[in-house]
Amino acid sequence: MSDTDDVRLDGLLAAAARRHPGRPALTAQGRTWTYAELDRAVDELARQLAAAGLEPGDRVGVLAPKGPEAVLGIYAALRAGAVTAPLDVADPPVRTAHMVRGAGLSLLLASDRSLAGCRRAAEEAGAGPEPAEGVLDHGLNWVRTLPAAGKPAPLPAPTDRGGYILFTSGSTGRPKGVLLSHANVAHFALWAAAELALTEADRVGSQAALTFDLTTFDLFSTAAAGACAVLMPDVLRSFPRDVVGWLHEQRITAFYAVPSLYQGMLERGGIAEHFPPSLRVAAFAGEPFAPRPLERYLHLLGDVPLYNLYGPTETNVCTYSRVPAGWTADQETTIGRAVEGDVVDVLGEDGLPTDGTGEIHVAGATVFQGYLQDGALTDPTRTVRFRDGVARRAYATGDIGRITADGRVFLRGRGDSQVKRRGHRIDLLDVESAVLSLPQVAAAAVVAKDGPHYGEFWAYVQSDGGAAAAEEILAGLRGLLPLRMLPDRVVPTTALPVNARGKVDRRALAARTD
Amino acid sequence: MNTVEDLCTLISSKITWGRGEEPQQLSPDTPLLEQGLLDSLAIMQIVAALDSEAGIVLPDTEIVAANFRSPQALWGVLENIRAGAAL
Repeated sequence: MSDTDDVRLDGLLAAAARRHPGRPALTAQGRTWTYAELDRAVDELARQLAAAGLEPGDRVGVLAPKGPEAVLGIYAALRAGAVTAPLDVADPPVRTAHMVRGAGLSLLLASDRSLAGCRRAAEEAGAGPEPAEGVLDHGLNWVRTLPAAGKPAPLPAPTDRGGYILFTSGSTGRPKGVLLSHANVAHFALWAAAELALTEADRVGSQAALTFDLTTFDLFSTAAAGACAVLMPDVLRSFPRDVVGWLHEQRITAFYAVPSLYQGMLERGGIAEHFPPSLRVAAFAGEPFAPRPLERYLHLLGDVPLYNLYGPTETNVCTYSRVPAGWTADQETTIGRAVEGDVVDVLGEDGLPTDGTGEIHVAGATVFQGYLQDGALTDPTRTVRFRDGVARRAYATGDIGRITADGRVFLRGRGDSQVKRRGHRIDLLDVESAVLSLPQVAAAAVVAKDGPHYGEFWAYVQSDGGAAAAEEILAGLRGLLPLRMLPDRVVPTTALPVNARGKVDRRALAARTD
Repeated sequence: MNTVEDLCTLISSKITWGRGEEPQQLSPDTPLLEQGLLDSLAIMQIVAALDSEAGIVLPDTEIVAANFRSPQALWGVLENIRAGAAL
């Protein structure tokens, strides 16, 4: 038990509205909402959702572009007691439909702009050609994906009265819903707000999609501190120079992003010449920071603290390190020590704690409840004896690393088919399943490249159509996968190479330069 | 690269089109960013292609959302760069 067990995410908003009713809570699309306004709007929306038939424990998806509607929709669903899943409007409807079915989402909230896409996803998920829908305040709408009688039973406690779902790439071609309790997310939110010393004077810059676990900081750490969440327009995300301009204009004081965005701002965004003077704390997560740009940033930041936060979606942030001011690129980077409330250990192949290299295991307050996939909840955690002799419910991250005697963890890569590209976690088998589902494909292997194309992943596809086939396969994938998951290249080949055991030789494919 | 239509063709070739989406649907006024047609990878590919195929080097200061909101907007930037180079 921890002291965050009773904290609700929408309760963080209500508490801030009591403490700081007149302070700005949210700035987006040129409009600012105070805490009192935001909390009132959320209350009213939650009432409207209940009137539309939403019951505590129902699972609700919020399919809206990043903006006030999405934030209002998420908070209102949480307040109404729903297990709430932010969804990405840029995902193909087929993939959204997989999420709706797999996680048992019975209701979707959409903004006026995303309503058409929402209907398509609902229809694709089996709601029939004209799903029931209705209008809510603040440009929101609801669309029913499952009839009241077909709703899945509430999830076990503590998510029987609400929770949070973030989807990650799975190995079966179906996105996995990571089920988090209010307490799981709140524990991280409160820890981060305290560690980064957020106050009601902070303006937290929110640049990532709401489907990304980074934004639990933007929404909930911000609310915990009574600070203001400033949403960056989606269209700026691909333009580092615009991001730098936006940090200036919006006088952002706290910023949490993936290293590739920081690097883009350094290489193409002009942040070195035009450093935002308001910034007083920065954090990164999602992938390792390349050493040289990291050293560059430490110089630029001066006294401004820079945090390295680590953890898969299943545990949110479980280790952290404030990068030391004098750190240089020739030194190793650590992902740091366990956050308060979590315990981290490294276990060898024999399942016992090791001082050598092994798999990183996490136990504690931020560890998720299980996966929602194919309509069922499965809990992959197991009881593990840590080096202090205590047996704990632990999640095996699949990340390889080692831990020092003083508890600092060093990452060494992955033990499976999962890769990180531009901060996004992608399971290559997920991409491979999508390739294999195309009618013209007989066999395929999706591999992470070595050598000159390191950092990319390519799909080798058995097909005799040549270059035209590659185009057609890519077009087919576009309908199944989000852009961020498309292979960097599709290579048609007459046959896939096999190794001595007769299996596809992925190592040979990874090393090939064509 | 003589007309805005040529630029449409170049941009279109860097977009991964889904089934049923016709590349030639791109017009000078197509709202590229609003429709989510460009991601950061496509933008870098367009910048690289302008250099290799048309000899136009787009400075970093011009790689901003306002210039990529439509083919017409980007065409305006290219014309300015060419006018500057001809002086």
